[in-house]
Amino acid sequence: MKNLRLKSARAAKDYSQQQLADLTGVSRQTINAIEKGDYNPTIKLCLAICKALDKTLDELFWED
Amino acid sequence: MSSIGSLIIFIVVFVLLFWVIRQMKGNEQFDERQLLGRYKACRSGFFAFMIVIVLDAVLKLFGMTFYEDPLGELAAIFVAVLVFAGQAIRYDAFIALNTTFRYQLIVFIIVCLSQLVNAISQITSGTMIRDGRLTLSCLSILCVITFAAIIIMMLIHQRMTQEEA
Repeated sequence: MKNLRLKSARAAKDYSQQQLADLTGVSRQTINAIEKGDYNPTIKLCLAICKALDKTLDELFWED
Repeated sequence: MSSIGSLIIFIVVFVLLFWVIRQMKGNEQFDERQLLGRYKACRSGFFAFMIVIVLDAVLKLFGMTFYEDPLGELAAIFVAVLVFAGQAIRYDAFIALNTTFRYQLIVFIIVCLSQLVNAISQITSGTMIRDGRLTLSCLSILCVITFAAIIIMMLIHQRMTQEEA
């Protein structure tokens, strides 16, 4: 399932996938895979993404 | 006495290789998804290696080998490397985060060209076939084919990634 919240949070910060990847220490393809729902990141990477985008885990990754 | 000497050489080479691999591992950085991809690629490479070894054993069993003895086992290593590289490239896990595509490509092109020179000299000297069987001289051609295939896969994948971005 696509993670549209991550994509929109990234767009709101005006970051490209590469910029977010550099901030979190992963490859651009990994950010792309998370946004497309092809890869489930570990909690460590989730936290790094949340910190880079100033969001909480709930806001970006929690699904009801 | 010579067997002890061989053993010492083997141990020295093994320790050196282990040290080099440890050093390389320390320098290369992969993210968690890439590491996962590399594990999958390693598994595929291992199974490819086993399949070629079994094929080699079957050919030997029925006396149908068209190559000299260690070539089958060595070909299995090349096939394993090729399968590992293909899978790792597919998972974007072949090139480390702190290595550039261009650097990796240049290294592979240099290896490929150096082996190509070797292969051409082997072909012209006619040492590749002896008594109707492929000899160990074919190794350089195997190396060229493996690295050329890896370079092509890298270029295709890079092109696809650029289009996606």
